[in-house]
Amino acid sequence: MTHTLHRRGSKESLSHDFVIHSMPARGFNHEGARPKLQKFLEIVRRHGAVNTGDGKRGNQYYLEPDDMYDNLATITHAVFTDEDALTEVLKELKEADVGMSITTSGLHEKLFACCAKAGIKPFAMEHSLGILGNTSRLPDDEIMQITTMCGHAMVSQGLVRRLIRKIKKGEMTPAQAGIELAKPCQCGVFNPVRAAELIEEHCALYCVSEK
Amino acid sequence: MYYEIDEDECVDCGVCLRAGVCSTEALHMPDYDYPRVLRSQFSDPLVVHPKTNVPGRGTEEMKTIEVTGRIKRGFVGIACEMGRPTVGARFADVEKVAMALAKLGVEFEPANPCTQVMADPKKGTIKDEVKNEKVLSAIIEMVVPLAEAKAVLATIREVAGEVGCVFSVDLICPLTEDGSVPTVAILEELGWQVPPNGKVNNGLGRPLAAEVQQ
Repeated sequence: MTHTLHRRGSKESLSHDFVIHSMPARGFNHEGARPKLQKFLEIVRRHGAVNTGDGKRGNQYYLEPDDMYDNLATITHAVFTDEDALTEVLKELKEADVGMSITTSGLHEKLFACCAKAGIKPFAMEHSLGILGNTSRLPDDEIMQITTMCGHAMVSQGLVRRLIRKIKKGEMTPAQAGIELAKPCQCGVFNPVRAAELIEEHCALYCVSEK
Repeated sequence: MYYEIDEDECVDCGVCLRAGVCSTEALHMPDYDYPRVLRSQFSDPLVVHPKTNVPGRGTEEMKTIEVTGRIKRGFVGIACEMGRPTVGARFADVEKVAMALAKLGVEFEPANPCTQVMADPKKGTIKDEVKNEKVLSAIIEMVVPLAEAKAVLATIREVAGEVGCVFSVDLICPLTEDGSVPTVAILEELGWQVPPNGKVNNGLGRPLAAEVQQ
């Protein structure tokens, strides 16, 4: 489930995209995990996460806030656009010391810097080694910068193109499109703010017919 | 407007159903039997796989390794995420990569759903009835000694030209005691360009695995 590993884009764009998840290890510390995951959710909400989700039940666009909080059972996600907020979250998580595993995704140099400021010694890292195989079947890279924010591929390239058309026709704003794109990503790891920025930037590359 | 779902290409991910795009509720997920049911188990992250008890198609991999100790210092986790991103993969393509890796003697992660559809995990062969099933992604997952990582990665690169799908490659390693990343030298030696982003396990899970405490 490396669903937050393969996000694509320029360093500048990726520098505003951080995912953090909290998870119990099945068979080790799963029993009694709910209040610990709830503590995580309290902290990330307080620090302005732009998306949150329960990996088993759905994201904040499908679940009411209390429903998500009351029924957390497994991997819990949050997305931030700001490394300072991520640092504060890490500091609080270290202090809370609830014992759930915490994984962060983003630019490595920024993740390590956040850990250092929070007084955390990272344990392991995971590299994306890119895409191999018949890459001629992939969508345009501009589209993939958006769709890969849902590593489970729940955000289709067709939806991105459809929303670009709507924006170009004046039927929707990029911010609204960002939220529409975040909805199918059930885990809640999609960054709607970055999506809006990317879609606004890439709109100029696409033409729409008046029909 | 007229839409037709090509059931042979459909991976049963459930996105169209959840989008609620059909006002007359004409879309439905058929109640499929094995082996077709594997498609939703590998493609819909809300379907919990019956063997792993984890939503999605993988394992906890590096997310909890400070607790589980499943990748120890001196070892690396390597995964080929067949079909990712977006394109999807038939298990016949999964088999091509798995067989090439099996020849190196790697052991596939037994808890991974992909290993569980193998006819012979030692050879990397997939069960005949499963080979034509198409899924959004299936993860070939293994843990190998650091010293063998170079050969495994070189084989992955070699076999990539033989498949019709795309796949993403992952490399996981515990950091050394002084915080350095032991895989950097291997990647440099292979001339493997690495994106600047990825994932970090922050080591906050408790209790720590015995190996980590030492």
